[in-house]
This record gives sequence, structure tokens and C-alpha cells, in this order.
Amino acid sequence: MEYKAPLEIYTGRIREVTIGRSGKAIRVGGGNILPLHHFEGNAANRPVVALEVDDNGAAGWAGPAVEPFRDVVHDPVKWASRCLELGADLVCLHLEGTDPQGANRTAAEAAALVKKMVQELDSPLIVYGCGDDKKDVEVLAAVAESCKGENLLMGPAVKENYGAILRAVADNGHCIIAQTPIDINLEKELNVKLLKHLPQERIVIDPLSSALGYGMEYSFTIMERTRQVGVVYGDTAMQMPVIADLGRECWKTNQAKSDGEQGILWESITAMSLLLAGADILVLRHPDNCRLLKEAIEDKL
Amino acid sequence: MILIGENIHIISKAVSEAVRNRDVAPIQALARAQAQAGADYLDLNLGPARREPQEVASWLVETVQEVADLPISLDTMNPLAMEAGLKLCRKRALLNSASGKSESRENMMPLAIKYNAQAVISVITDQGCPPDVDSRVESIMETVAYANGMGIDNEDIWVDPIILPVSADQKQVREALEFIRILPDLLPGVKSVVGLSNVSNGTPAHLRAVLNRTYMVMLERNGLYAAIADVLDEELVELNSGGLKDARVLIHRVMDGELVDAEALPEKEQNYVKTARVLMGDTLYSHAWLET
Repeated sequence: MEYKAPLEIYTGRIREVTIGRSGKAIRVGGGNILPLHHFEGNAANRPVVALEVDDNGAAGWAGPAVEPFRDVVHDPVKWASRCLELGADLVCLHLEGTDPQGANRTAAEAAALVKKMVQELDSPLIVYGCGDDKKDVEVLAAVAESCKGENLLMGPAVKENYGAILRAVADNGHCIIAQTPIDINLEKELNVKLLKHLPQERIVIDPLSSALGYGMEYSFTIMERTRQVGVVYGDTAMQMPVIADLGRECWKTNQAKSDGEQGILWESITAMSLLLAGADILVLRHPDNCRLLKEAIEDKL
Repeated sequence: MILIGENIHIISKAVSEAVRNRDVAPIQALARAQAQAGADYLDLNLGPARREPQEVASWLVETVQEVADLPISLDTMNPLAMEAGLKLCRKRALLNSASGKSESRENMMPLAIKYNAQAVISVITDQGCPPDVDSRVESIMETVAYANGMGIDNEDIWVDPIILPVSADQKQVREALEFIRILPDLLPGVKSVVGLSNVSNGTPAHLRAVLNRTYMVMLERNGLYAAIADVLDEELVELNSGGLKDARVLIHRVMDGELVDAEALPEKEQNYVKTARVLMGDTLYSHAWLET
């Protein structure tokens, strides 16, 4: 008699989020399975890999992560194009230069840069503010407006500022990144608040990523539970794709800073782990890892 | 179910100031209000009582007994304060609490015998709070056996499963519920008691009451004997005396795993259903659990 493996069928489905304007859009999420369980159901879309670009000349980046981009780090648009040439599915721009504690660039400058990048780039764009919750409101509102209709994925919207960022995102046709500090209950709370104004199809969850050795297992657990609660238990406030913005976390570790080879390994192990935990978008810094993760995602390893 | 009024609690700023200044008025007002609201016992929570433990305990017990003719649940981890207070209790008091910790076995349990008090005994041991039903059972069996050996009968023991906040560890809420259900089979004759409001610790203040009320109905259904609770919450007292039948039935249906159509209900009932689902672990808790 032929053996048929028993299959779990889940009731929940992760919503599909489309990033970028039509013609060059990427879709993430959409599956009714646990991470990479392709044998159990329909994945809809495989996870995607973004490479990170910043608007601050890679200040503070560890050498080996800068190396492949050394000639373009002062031109973020060229840097972004290089990322795509090196195999990234899309680009994630961090507006570090707007940080009031740093270069403190204005919202208008940031908006002009993002507009230029989105026009020249053949891929959708993810935009993160600098993480200062007040400055981010100003900057992300300007970016949202100047790129109206481009369907950026932008954030982070956090507990302290989600109202203002939500308005800018909703009014200008973008998607939002909902960020909470590695806490499943706070994550759900923010989702519930955002869902009053935006459909699930325009929200991506950022539960915060930590690097190997610096709390990665916490991020892993939260991502894993997020997917279980959404797919297995059918919780509609938890059925959005997850972004793992992990490259920056890995490359700021002492291990990565002291030894480039080790940095690449640090990033690859963290990325592989969070891929298994359920991340739909992985944000990395090193192109070698971009290639590696794409191979893993396409089952070629 | 027996209600033990929780409001004379040293964590409350008004209470701690009154105690420090030996100001009888605020304490007696709280005692009277809780007695009028229907409390069966008054909990006097002194916390660790590091400064003048005996003086504070004696003063508080006398102050309360002047205006309220109710038995006292004396709530402190300081054996000196406990003894000083128990000595003065006119009605048979409740020692709140002892546990399986060695210092509690040595210093607290003997006071229950010496002053003929009933004793709250929690599942806590030197290893901390047991994480699930089985380990709670293991620890309480051992601690109660020890108390029995000392001469405290099951009938005088009020077992406390330790309630943890739903916002901190959702799974524990259901573990405690299950523990209460099986307790009479494990230790015939013992009573049970919980610190009810702990379930809503960490939840925004204006949302705490519905958690406390719902959990009380659930625990009561599973056989809980007594709760240390906010008796100044009128709806909670009403629920405890058999009122709000619709809400109680809805909570029971959620406990039974029925799919209740919350949308079709009035807001108040809807909130009870949503809260029961969160406490049963059917939906993931967030501070916005009533908004979905």
C-alpha cells in the first residue's frame, strides 16, 4: 500500500501585500502554510531578499559590507542600482542621514532623494526612517507625499507615532511597516490599531530582528508565533507578512566588525534562521548573502 | 463565592500614607466602604512591613476592627507583623499567606496553629512559582502534607494557585483555571483562594475590571471558594451574587468551546465574550483585545 504522509490543513491565510507601482511590483505573503512548508499548501509567494542602502555614505558600516559598494556609497541611487545588479529583489533605503543626533538632513532633502530613487529604480522600494519617532513623522510624511502613488513600503510606525505615519501612508497610497519591540502582545495591539484605517494588504509586520548571539532567538520565537497565530489559529490581526531588517543588526556586532569573513557568516546564519522562523522580506547588507539566501529560498541548496 | 476586600493595600499611596501617619480616617473609610459593598473578609496587606512591623500590624488591625465587624485576612510576608496582627484579631483570621518555601514553613505555618487561624497556602516553593498544572499539583501536595503534619487540617487550608497577569503570560491564566477545577479531587476538604486582580496587572487601568470580572466567573464555575478582589467594583459584586445572568451564560459558553457570535450582542456582553476568549487562550492577548 502506498504511504501518504498526513498533512495539516490550516484555516488562516497570510494576506498578500503588493509593494511598488504596477509594472515593477513585488508581492509578498499570501500563503496558508507555515514557513517553507510548501508540501502543506499554497505558498503564493516565496520570501524576497532586499539589500540595504543608506543616505549617509555608509557611515559606521563595517568595511567588508561596504566593499562591494565602495565606489557608489556617496550616491544612494547608484548604490541602489548596484544592489539590483548584484541580485537583490528589491532595495531597502534607510534614511540614517535624517537622524537629529547625526547629519540631521531635512525632510525635504530625504523626500527628494527617495523620489529620485524610486523614479530611476527598476524595483520596488522599502524606506525606513532613522528611528527617531518625532523626526520620522516629519520625514516619512514628506516622503509619502512626494512619492504619492508609488506604493512604497515605509516605516517604522511605532506605538508613539503610528497615527501620523498612518495618515501619510494611507492618503498617498503606500504600505506601512508596523514595528514593535520583540513582544507579541504589543505587536498585535499595534496591528489592531492600524487595521482600523488600513487593510491587511497594506501592512507588513516588523517584530524587530536581533543578530545571532544578541537575542536572535527572541526574534525567532516572535516571528514563529506570529505565523502560527495567523495561519494555525486564524487570528486576522496577525495575518500580515513579516519583514526581518537584520543586516544592520549583524554588521554592528563586534564579531562582524573585527573580521569580515565572520561578519558574512553572522549575517547568513541570522538570515537563514529568521527565514525559517517566517520572515517574508529579508533585508541584508552583503551581496554574497543575498545570493545564498535566494538559493535557499528557491530550494537550490 | 467568598469575597475578600483587597483595597487596604500598602501599594496604594493613600493607604501607605495613612499607615505612616497613623491616620485612622482613610483606613476606616475603606473598611466601612468594603463592608457595605458586601465583603466577607477584609484583606490588610502590609507587604514586607520592614519598618516597625509589629506596631504597624497592631495599629492596622485595631483601626479596622473599630469600624468593621468582619474577619481579617492578614496579608504580609513578615512573620513579626503577622504574629502581632493575629494576636489582636477578634474573629478567626486568615493567615495570608504561607507557601512551600522553607522560611514560610518554619516561620509562618506555626503561627496558624498558635493563633488558631486559617491559612492561605500557595503553590510557591523555594524554586519559585511552578509553571504548569502538573508542577503546581506536585508542589501543593507536598506543602499541604507538611502543613497537615504540623497540625493544620485540610478544612483550614485555602490553596492559592498564584494568578499571573494575562498580559505577561497568557498560558498561565488557563493553567490556574484548570488547577482550581481538579483541586477538590487532589486534596478533599481544602478551600481555594486567588488574588483575582493580579490577572489584570499590567493591563491599562480602565480595562482591568472586565478582566477581573470575567476571570472570577470562570474560576467560580470551576469551583473557586474565595477571591481577594476589588469589592468596590459593583458589577463584580453583582456577578458574584448571581446577577448579570446573560453575561455569565456567555462566559460559560466560551469556556465550553462554543463559537459565540459576539457581533450580534450588545457591547457589554460582547466585551465579556471577547475577554473570556482571551482568558481561555483562544485569541492572542493585546491591550486592544476589546477593539477587534
